[in-house]
Amino acid sequence: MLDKQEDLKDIQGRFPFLIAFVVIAFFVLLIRTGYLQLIKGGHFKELSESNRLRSLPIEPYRGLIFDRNGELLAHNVPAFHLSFILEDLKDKATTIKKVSGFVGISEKEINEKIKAKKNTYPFAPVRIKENIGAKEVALIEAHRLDLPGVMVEAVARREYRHGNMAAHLLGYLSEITQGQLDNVVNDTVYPGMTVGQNGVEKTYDEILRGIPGYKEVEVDAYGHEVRLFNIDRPVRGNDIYLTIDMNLQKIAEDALGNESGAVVAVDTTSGDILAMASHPPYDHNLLSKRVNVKDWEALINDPATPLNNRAIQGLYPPGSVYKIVTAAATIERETLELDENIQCKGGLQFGRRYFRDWKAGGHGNVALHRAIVESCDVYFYKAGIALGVDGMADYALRLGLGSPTGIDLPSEKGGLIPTKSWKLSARKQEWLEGETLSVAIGQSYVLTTPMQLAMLISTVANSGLKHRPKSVFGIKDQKTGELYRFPPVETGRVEIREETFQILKAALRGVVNEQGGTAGGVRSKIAEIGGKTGTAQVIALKPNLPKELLNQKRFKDHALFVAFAPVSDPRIAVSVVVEHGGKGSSVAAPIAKKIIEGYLKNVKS
Amino acid sequence: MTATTFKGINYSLFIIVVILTAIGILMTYSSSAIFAMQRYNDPFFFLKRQMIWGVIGIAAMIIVSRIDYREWERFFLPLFGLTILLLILVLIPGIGREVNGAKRWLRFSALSFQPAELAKLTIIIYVARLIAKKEEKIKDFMNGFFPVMSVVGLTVMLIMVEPDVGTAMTIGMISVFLLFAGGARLNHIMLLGLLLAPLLYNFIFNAKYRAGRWSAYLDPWKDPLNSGYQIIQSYLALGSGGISGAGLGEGKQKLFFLPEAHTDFIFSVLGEETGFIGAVSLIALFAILIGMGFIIALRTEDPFARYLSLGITIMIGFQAVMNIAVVTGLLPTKGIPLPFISFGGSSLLINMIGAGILMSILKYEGGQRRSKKV
Repeated sequence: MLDKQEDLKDIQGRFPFLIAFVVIAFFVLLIRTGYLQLIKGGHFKELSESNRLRSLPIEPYRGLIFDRNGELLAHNVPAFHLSFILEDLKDKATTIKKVSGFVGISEKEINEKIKAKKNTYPFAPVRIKENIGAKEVALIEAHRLDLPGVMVEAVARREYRHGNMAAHLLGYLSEITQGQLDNVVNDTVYPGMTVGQNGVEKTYDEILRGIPGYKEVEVDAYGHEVRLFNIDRPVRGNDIYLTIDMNLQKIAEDALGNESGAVVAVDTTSGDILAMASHPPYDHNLLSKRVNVKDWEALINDPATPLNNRAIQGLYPPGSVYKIVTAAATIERETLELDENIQCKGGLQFGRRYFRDWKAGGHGNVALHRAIVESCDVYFYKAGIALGVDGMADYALRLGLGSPTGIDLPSEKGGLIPTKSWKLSARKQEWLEGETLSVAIGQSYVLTTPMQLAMLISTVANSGLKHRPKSVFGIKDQKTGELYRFPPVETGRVEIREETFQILKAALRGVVNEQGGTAGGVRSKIAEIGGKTGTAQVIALKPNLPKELLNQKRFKDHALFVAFAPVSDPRIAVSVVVEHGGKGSSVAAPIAKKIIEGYLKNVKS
Repeated sequence: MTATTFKGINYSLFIIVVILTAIGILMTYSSSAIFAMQRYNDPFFFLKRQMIWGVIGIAAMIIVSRIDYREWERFFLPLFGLTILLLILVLIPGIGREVNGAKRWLRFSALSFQPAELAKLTIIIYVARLIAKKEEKIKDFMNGFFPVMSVVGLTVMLIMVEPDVGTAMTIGMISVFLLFAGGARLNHIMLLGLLLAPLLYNFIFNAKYRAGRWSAYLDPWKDPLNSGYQIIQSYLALGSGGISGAGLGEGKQKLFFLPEAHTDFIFSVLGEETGFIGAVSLIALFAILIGMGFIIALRTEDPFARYLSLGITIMIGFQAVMNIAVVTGLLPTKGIPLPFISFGGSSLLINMIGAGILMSILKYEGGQRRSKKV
């Protein structure tokens, strides 16, 4: 150890240098800061105020949408929006007044738009009016110098080339919402960007929308870009190819016509959606232009719920279509022998209630096959009693009812398959045995979507092989130009024996092709069709309504039909629901026939 | 000096550090909110992270202040091993997170950590310990000066390849200052400087962007939209602040004009929003903090404590001076954060641990002092 005194002396020798160094350094910093802030302050402030460098997002070119044959369905067309850059407005009142005169929008409305715009970055354009015409653009541009802070933005607008056709499947675009902004962590979106809000535009938004670019620009005193000195180019979105065939879609839409309801056609070999229609449709071209608040509210409050995609969101009692499930359960559990005849006299007394058959005179003695062909209610009441509600639910769930099919579209509904425990927990009530009878013929609490029914019949046609339905066929990578095809997604085999499906398919064939079959009217020359009709009662539990009311359309039954074809080598499965259409055989079945024939005719040629 | 004075310093040290950190969090928010809103759709993106680090840092400072500073000497080897390990790990692709071509970060869920910041502290402990141990030998080149500088050099090289020139330089300079204070011969230091000069020259002018920085430093107005852009925007920010500033949150330069507004150039935003008064107050806070550091170093008897406290003081002081000098255009831009203020968790944490060690020295060294008398 060294002597402490010497050690301290050493420090005393060197520390002052360090301290002096620090003192000088801080002194220099003080002088420099004072020089910059106090002496040069005014000069820099002036420069800062004329600082017109901006960083602006550039919207990427959204990918196109085609059908499976390469038919263009959605593309982008130029549109012009009138916007204000609030920071650049010189004389706000006069500008608003002038603009109001040029483009025909009231001053009050302009002020409201300005007020409504919050929570955005500085110098962000505030949209005053969208999609202004060429004449209005010319007027604004001619008065450009008198209108600092007013700009016409040329942007791409989505156009759907087939009008309202497949509107629900395609979806529409609109400005990204705050909620959606909050959910995105990366910088692939920015406030004010348009994104997909429904259908494949929404599910495949990330693929379609591309990556925004940014540009740093210098603007003049009027807010117009005078110099560009850095640009980060946007990346174009990828194109997608849908599984639908637009020709078939047109057949489906035309066949549904002005009725409300839904049609779903599926390729049984792959789960590809060939057509999906939901009526009433909505105008997605109009929605993508951005509708005003009043029109929007009218649309969402419309009692006909045009925004609903009934194919995946509409919940309907399946009616007699559900007999496929009851029959499958009966065969599998052997609760009734296959050749066991049930006598049908047009109804069944159960407890205190008399359960009617749809055919007043009854069907006579029928076994399973004829019971399906003629859709005998009494047979299935008895089959239901033998199975119990939970026995039927078991097979309904195996066949994919009661839960979403997993299609690549937003907000699919799951439906409901009632069980005793469900009623106890959801309704806090014991199951009533009488309800079992209603369930057996697809009434009571049973709710399904047209999508589920299409997959049900497709699975039966495939003798139990299940697919996850999909609406997109492939994606075209913009960089490589290659089309990546999505392979079919098989989701396993239903735990039901092969022979059971053969019996079911023979009966479904009979519905269309045998004497007395409920859908005998849709026998086809092109291919053998198998199917099942359904009529879902809308007012099953209110039989005491006056007659004039019963005749009103809104109290008429829903008409349903599910079908597949050809029976021997199934290629297509279809489900049709026509709201308040009446009988499934006369209203829904012909629609399915048109689609099946339209598809098989083309495939064969 | 009595124990009460020491206690007084202890408290004011704590308070100053907390005030600086609070200013940092406030300015981080003010300077980053709009940028964060645009890029991350979350105006609080940087604020949240800085606040989390602030809380972690204060906790660490309090804990460290209650640990006898001599423990750092005892556990030096594992600490040094860990530092080198992390510095190597960060270079391995897949482990280190690469941002803009630099591998500086190790990521732990939402928070990232820079091993180079830890290296600052480790090297200070290392050099302080050696000076304290070797005493006079430090004057000897082969037995004192050279071995110390080799270890420092190795660490600096590891950081250089990330590359993080700012931190590498900071560590090198802290070591040189410490050795100078510890009695190393001036001609040794000058020899080192002479040896490093060509290397440094090469480094400044070889990489194109660094050369751009140099010419921008000499005359930023020659290329105002490219190499001179950042420093000009910094001038405009400071200048438009004037005496009393535009008011908190009212600054315009941070709105995309000034790059790195919430990190290296946060002093410009502070200058714009709080004016000369705010800027001088901040400089004064740093001056007081550094002054206290010097007092602690001068008044401690234990050589390790002395050089440790001096090293920490130099660490904070050097970075503060360098950062402000860069932002005010006195030095070319080099990427050195403003201690406690700039956005960046690792830097904040290490500086706060440093402050905690200063407080620990006051507590444990000051306690001994009472029995003796100076």
